[in-house]
Amino acid sequence: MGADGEGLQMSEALVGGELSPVQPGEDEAHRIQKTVHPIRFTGSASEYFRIWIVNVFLSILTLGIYSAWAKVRTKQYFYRSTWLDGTSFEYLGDPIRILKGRLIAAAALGVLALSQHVSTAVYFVVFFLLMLSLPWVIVKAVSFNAHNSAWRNVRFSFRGTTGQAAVEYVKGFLLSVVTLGLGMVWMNWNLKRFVFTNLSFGRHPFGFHAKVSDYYWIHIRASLAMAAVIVPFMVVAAIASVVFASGASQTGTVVSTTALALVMNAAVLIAISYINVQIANLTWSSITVGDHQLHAHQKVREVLWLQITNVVAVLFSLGLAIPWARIRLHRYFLDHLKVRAVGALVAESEEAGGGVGAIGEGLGDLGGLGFDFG
Amino acid sequence: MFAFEATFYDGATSEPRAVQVQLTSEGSVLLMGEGVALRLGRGELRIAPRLGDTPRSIFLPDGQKIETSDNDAVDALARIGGGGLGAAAWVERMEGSWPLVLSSLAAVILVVWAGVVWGIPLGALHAAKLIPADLAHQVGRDSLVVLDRTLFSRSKAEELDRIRAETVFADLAALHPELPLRLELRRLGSPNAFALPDGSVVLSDELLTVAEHADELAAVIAHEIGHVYHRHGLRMALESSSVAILIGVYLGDASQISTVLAALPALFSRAGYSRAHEAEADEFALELMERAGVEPQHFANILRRLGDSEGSEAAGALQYLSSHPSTAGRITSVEGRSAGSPSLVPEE
Repeated sequence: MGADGEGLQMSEALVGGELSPVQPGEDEAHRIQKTVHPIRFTGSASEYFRIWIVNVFLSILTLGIYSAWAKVRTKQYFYRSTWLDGTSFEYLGDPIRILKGRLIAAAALGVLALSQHVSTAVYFVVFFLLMLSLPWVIVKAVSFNAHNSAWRNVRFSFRGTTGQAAVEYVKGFLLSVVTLGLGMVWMNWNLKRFVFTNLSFGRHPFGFHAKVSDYYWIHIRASLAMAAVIVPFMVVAAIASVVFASGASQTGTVVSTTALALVMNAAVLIAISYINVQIANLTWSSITVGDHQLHAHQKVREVLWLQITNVVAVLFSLGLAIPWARIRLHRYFLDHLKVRAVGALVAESEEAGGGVGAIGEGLGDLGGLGFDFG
Repeated sequence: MFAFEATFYDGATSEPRAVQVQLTSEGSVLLMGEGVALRLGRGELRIAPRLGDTPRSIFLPDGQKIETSDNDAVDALARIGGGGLGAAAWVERMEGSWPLVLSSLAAVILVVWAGVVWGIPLGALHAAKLIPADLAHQVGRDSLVVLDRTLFSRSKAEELDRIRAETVFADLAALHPELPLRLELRRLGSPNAFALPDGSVVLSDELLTVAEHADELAAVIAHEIGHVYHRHGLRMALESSSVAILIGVYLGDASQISTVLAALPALFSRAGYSRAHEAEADEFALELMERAGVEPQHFANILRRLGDSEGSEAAGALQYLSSHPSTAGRITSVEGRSAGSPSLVPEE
């Protein structure tokens, strides 16, 4: 795929068949142009492989210090290869600030490790304090990421506060405990709502319109489908084991238990994939930016195939296929995401605000919390 | 003096404006386009580092910027204006050159390989020494309790076999009074023996019957004492868990499927570490046998006999083979050492 943005300025008219800009003097109120802008990804495995291996090499050489620069280069490569309406996204994160964040995060984990040697009580106090700081870390991470993501020189921003995040976390946690885990779906939905409704692109706020009932329906459908496969199979396997047990042959029992384990694992895997893909589609398709609507349409079968082949390729290449695997999964995701624009894609910048610290970003990295968009 | 096309963004709106960028002979930069006419000093520009062939930004004062896909022109601008891109240019040169990329790859493979082959075992060796004796004892006792509940049953060995095993064990253990050695007899279903971190040496009833000579039993026990002496149990736990953790970090952003399959390399590396431990225990066993006055040939004999019973009992063979080096290779190596000269027979 060529890295040329010019060929990507495709737009198709949805309503009115109007592709050309609105002519002055016409009745604009009745002729608001609705256009679908596909999002395109032009990253190549060969290019990313070179960036990746140099990143790994320099990170090892500098005992991890370079990893902050490596992160920026990786993110910037993926952003700059993501095109909307002929312009690619830009990542503006400062590696020095990310490095500071990581050092603070490492120090915090170091204190936690050392406290273990003092006494178990001290360890739990430190652990509890770190857990308390989690809402703050998450808000910092999302803010930093948003503030340093831009398109056409207009930045994203996040205005959620630590207090709000803490309230949402406590609510979700309590509900999950009271409902014996059933509330976790609500918590997941609620945290997404918290993040997206506090996000803006320039002056244009994001909206999040997914219903929590739809989140639950996806889980219910997946569970029912899984049960529909597993229950009959368990019955068959149970009958088979009785039959074989009386026949004094152990092979039959072994075969039927193995088959049962395989079917159950496959069913769980497919169900998890179904939930992930459908939740992703629902979430992305429920997001508006100003008047514009996002739309995601990934297919479970295709994502599952990509993930399985990726894992096989990464294993058999001893990890060397990691860049290729990441690129093709990312390309699939972005190729199945589009923007349904109402009017032109013109945004206004927010008033310049203060900088956002990267401490959260560093901590978020270590905790394996990915707060990526774009 | 040269020029290139770019897109200008004022930072207040996302409105793109086409501009032509010119470098004048006196060294200032001219931006000319629809509604844009700027003259800037080279020092006022901040040029983003090159990243593959992706478009690049040149940041101007007051939050304005220009963006272009003409990377060569931006590189030329960076060179002409002086200052350059510093260390970033160096990284770009590495990424842009396949020989340098492949050299980095070779270096990374070398470091990872050395880490897995030497680094992790060395780290595990030192860490195992740091683990307090009472913790090791606890781990060993706990695992025996679990094994007794699941796989093992009470020993039903003949009185004679039991006494023979206890005598042989006591003689060998006396040579290592510093180790907390203890003999445990169990029924396992196949001839087998292993050592736990607390110093328990477990022998199966089936092994007692397979061993025709007391000295053959001595060879097996000496080998297991070797595992206790070298703290192989703890080292193995540390080694395989570090591989699992490293793979987990490495594949950090991958999906659930990969976390399931990431166990595979951990399993392979486990077999590799295990073989190194077995060789170490063999070495120890031969030395201990020499001190106890046991002929090394008995070691080869019992290995051969266990190899025979492997053929007859497929289930036992699987268990035995998974953690031990090939029996034929070990017999050759033991016999080579017992003859007092390096083996001339090539290992398979």
